Amino acid sequence: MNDLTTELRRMADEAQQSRPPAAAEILQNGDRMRRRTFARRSVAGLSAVAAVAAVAVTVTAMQPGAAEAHPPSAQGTPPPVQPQHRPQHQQRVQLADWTVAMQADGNISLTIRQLGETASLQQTLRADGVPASALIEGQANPCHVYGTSDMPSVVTGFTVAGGSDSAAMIIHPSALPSGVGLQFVASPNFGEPGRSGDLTVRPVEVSSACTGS
Amino acid sequence: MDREEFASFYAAAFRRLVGQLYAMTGDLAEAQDAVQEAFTRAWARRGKIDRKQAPEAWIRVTAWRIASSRWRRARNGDRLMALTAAPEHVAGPSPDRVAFVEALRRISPEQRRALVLYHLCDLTVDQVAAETGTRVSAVKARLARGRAALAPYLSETAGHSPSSKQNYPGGAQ
Repeated sequence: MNDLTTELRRMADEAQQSRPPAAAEILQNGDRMRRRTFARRSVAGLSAVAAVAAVAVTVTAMQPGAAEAHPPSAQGTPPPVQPQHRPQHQQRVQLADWTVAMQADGNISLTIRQLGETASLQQTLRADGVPASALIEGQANPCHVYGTSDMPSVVTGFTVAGGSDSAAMIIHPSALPSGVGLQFVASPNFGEPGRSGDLTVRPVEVSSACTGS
Repeated sequence: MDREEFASFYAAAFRRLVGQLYAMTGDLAEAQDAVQEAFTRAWARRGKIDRKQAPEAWIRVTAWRIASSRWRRARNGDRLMALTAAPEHVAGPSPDRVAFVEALRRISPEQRRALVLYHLCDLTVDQVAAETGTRVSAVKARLARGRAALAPYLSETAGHSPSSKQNYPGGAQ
């Protein structure tokens, strides 16, 4: 056996015996992904308009005499609006893109359904004591990955709901070493029903550009 | 980049990138899947790929992120078994190769990635640092430590003395 370079080249050469899928298949899948991305951006624009309307309704509901409002939790989109005087309409539940809830023991429960609002998610986590960065894959990444990618005591209880609908986890801020934060990176199709989205959580070095501190 | 150009680029680079990802991950099926998905994303975002002017590096980085996402494996463990483009049967590797792959798996993913980028992809230390988003000093340390971890195995199999192992230009211990 020769040196490391030769061994790596041999290993790579063996892997290259496999036949690649047809280019037409890749192009077709890429076109589908592109259409979905554009469609979702359009839907996101409409959702912003709907969110403004929902906030207005919520403010109205909190006027004296209105039904008691539940304490708001940190969410990526406004909480569901429950019409009080329109029983003839079927109630719709609007799920937030993500939900952050501080637990009594200081740990943080995080559920991510989509990661469209990266800025607000990272601000919320930072406010709860987690130096955090969130981005969509392909965006410029100002962070340096921390030395080791495995920090099982920091994020536990990872579960997946609905096959590909959401990911939930418990973050343990006290287990984060000094100078280390968490970065959440989602692929553009993360959270799309029936699609295989990626969500990566990795430790990163704390910096003003990355985690804001 | 139009369809024809992309198809040509894909045909020219797919196998090479699978080889590189296989060396990084030690898992051929995962490497093929990750590279395939990275090419799909590249075509979906072709405007950005054109601007970056480094499509192969972009795909390698994306494929690495895909392959290294442990959550993705949790989410799609079943799906990976039903790929639309199943890999063609490949002749079994030699015992030496099996042992080498096992040795590679024993070092950290970051060290493996640095070694592959430096030795197989012929990148400089600075380029490895840029592609992995780490400092040059960290790359040097990963290269040195990864090499040190593999050196006994390489020396033993090759019948060389430990003193025959290579050093890296400016490498740090």
